[in-house]
Amino acid sequence: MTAGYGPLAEAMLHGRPLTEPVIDIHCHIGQYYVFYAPDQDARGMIDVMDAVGVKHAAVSAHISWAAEAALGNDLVAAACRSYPGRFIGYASANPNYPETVLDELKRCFDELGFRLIKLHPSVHQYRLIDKVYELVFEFAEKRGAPILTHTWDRDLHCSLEMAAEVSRRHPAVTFLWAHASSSFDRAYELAADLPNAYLELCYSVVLNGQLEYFLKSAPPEKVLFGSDFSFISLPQQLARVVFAKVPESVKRKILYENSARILEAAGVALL
Amino acid sequence: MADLEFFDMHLSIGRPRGPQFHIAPDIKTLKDELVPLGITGGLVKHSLSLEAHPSIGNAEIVSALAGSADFMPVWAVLPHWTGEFPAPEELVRQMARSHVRAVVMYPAQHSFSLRDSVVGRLFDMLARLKVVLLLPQPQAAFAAVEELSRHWPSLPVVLIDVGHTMARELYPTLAACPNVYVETSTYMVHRGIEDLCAKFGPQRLLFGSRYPYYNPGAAVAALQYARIPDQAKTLIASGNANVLLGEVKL
Repeated sequence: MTAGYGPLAEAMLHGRPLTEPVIDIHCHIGQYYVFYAPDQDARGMIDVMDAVGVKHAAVSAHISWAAEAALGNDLVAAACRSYPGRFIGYASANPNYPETVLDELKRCFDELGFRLIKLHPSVHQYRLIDKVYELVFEFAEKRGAPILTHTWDRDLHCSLEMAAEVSRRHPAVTFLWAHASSSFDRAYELAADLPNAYLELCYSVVLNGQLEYFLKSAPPEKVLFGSDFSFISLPQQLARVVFAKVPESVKRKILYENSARILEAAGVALL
Repeated sequence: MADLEFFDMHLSIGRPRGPQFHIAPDIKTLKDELVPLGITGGLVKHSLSLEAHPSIGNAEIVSALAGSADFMPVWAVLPHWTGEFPAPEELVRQMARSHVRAVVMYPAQHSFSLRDSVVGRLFDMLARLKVVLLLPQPQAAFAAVEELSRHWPSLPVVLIDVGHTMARELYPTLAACPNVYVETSTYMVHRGIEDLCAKFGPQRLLFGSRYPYYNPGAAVAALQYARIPDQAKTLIASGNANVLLGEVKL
């Protein structure tokens, strides 16, 4: 009963864990003020990751979107300590408190062991191209840290054009453009000649045929699986790749190999 | 894991007016893609019912589904006052002739409200016959859903297109209205199915995929991985739909 989708889909159709490794590069931990979802703590997330077979989840905390980024980073660090190798922490900082940004990033990297940075210019209402983020990009370059930044087509604070601009300005920094699927055609058009820019897939709905359409233009090496879990259902988001009518080798690149390469280059040990 | 057969409450065929990544122009395409996933039956709307006029799309869907007993037609319905749509008594006669047991309303896109003077006579008739009403969110506010479900408690109201941010409105509506149900295709919250089952019971959930626009594999996977008993999965996959549609007195 695979409808030609392949062995990964066969596993999902029966609710079994995937046997191929998966890295989810875009996850969140902790409760969120905008809407309710249950079990957004580390245990609740691990239960689902085990059920579907996601080996590693790169996480930032919802709390970090408020003023007290350090509280969120501590929550992420606690999850990483509780489940070694399963969670990979993103350091976050709030650019509206510029005096705290570098100190918090240093604390995250030097004391908490983080190797990645997450930016959310939209919720912080601070443009990705503005000066405080320059401090972050310089820090990222020095530390070899990839940056996952929220993007959205025509967002006032983090449009795809802004993501392209900072990616071009900082060729030594790896930028992961979250939600590139908000307008994948434009995202790929802007990222095509930027070897340091990657397109992450999560989007609250799984449009039928969307990934297949994207991959007619974008090479699979540019595309990363991310889910926005624990806002959104991880199995649903995983199905975006698993049920796409593309070769299994392409799915493996998107689900694991591309992210693994980025994480290993950043010094993350994938246990 | 349960070996499930799915009855899908949220299907469409017909060419859509706007661009989509995937379409199902006809029932053959739909069956070819869904049956291998275990989706062996469902309620099917026609794109023209929403995007042209219900009277056009409703005729199309009946004709398109002739001979497909497991895939049942859904009619979009309008208030009858303008004369463009049959009066409720005539409407249900036509529905019976065409084996239509479920209807859908698009109050926002079709420019009407759910107040009593607009839809009261229609709802009286649908409720008496226990016709299944599909109501997309956010076409009708939760306050309106609650009001209509209280006024017509025997009318089964299935909310479709319920978004992942809606729990704080959805939960009290389910608590207040035992005749309101949730179709699952768009309620893709982390552990959302489990939480709804724990708080309201699996009887209140109905499987749907929103095919062809959404990936049906995602809908199947979301239910298969839910940490709920197999019996609950069976109810959501098809059992609850069979009960509701079996109670329609047409």
